[in-house]
Amino acid sequence: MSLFQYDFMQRAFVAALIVGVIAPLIGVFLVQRRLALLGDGMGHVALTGVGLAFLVGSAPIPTALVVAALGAVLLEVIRARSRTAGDLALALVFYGGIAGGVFLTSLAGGKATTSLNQYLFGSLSTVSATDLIGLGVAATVVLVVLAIFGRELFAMSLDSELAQVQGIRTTLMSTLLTVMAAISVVVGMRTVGLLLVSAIMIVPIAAAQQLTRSFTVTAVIGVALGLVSTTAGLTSSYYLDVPPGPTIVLIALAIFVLAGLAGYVARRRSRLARR
Amino acid sequence: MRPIFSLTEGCVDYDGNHVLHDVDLTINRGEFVAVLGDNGSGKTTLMRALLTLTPLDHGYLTIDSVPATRFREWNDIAYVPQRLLSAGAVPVSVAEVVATTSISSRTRFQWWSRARKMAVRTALEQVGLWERRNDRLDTLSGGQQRRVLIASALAKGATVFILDEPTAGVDGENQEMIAGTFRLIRDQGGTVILVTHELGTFTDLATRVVILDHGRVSYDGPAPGPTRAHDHGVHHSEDLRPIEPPSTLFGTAGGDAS
Repeated sequence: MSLFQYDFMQRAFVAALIVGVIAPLIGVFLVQRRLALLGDGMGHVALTGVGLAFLVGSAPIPTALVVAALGAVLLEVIRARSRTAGDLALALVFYGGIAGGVFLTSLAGGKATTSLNQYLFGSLSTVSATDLIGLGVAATVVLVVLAIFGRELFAMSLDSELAQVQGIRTTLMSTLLTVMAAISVVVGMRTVGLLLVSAIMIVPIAAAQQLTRSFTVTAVIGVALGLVSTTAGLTSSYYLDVPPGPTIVLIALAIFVLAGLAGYVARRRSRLARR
Repeated sequence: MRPIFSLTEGCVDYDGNHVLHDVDLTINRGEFVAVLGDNGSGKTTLMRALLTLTPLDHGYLTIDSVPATRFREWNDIAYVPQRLLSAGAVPVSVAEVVATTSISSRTRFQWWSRARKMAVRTALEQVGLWERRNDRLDTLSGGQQRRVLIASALAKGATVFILDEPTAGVDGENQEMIAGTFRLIRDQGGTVILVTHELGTFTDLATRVVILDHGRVSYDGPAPGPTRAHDHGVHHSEDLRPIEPPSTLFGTAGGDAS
């Protein structure tokens, strides 16, 4: 395979594999909580981190990680304090994030504005070896947190009140999930881009749930579909010479349509069989 | 008898209105209490206050003789809601739902213990839904889904059960099955608190009835079970006189008993 002869493509593939695993694993909890758009918002907030990195000359991934995580905590605090304005809290933090990102990037001027596109829609050539270490560490953190708190996160996502009556600290779990969504967004920033990364958290899960009967299987199939989307999207991006974000998301959406059709046929068949 | 819940002068305000007003209520272990009332009577708020889901604006609550804020033995209390808050978003299997209630910070590192699996199996067998364990929850009927939630409560291994309208929108057959499950729990010494607008199949199970009206307790005393009614020779005993319970409250009772 000729595309693997380039170091930058090898690095891009490793990054894509990491996103393909991590993003749907967090996405399945977000879909369960009916917070499918949370990842989008976290992407906007991470953009402020990227803008800040441009301005002060720091490394974009760690800066975006810190800013997005802080944004996640801020969001949960606003949500916990005000009972009724859950989606309003989301909106406030999101607008602030994208405005802050573009503002800071413009202040930094020069090359920053042109490279902003790479962060918005992903890029094949920008994943450095240092980036990969950052992504690896972030992904490991997400996996360890899921291994320890996954079941409590599931209980909280299914019914937060029932979880509370079980002695699960639901506000803490909710914050943990939002922070992990923020981390996943930054993990996908290089390959899929901040504007589209949320899709790889949500679309593979939406596709998987057309075919499944349980949460666990939905998560597993979601990861498999996520991996197919990111790797196939990256490959086609290389040959078509377009940014990888759009190809990855379009492939994920195509899989969703196929899964929807397959699920429809399967349900119809089982309904006929029961008659 | 040891009190499991003790509420003193409990008040909950919502938008300036008293939803609960100076409610004093002590529930002892081993009791089968039916909390009755019309819509807006405050019965749901009372239930949520006991579960600490709705904070009290005034008053004081102890759970198992410990101030509610310091109560930690949640494994002993099972809450059966009418439905799951976010059911139907991602497919969830019946077995997954039942296994959920045994999740807590204490069991964080014992994922798949044999005892846990057995508890799920026993509970599902008890409600007659073991064969449906791998099905999606939302493919079950409303009554069956309620039985799944009851199985979750059973799998938890609790001795105190709080039920929110367990028979509302549930067909007769499922109602009988649910009542049978809680008869067993009562006979084994468990505590049951039932919040409902209609006793229905639970009429001969409740040992005590608390009736709420506009946020206040308007009646607190023995239940007019068929045995009791028979003993006293009247359906509306002296105990019930102050509140004039609407006939529908205990209406369906007589038929099932005997």
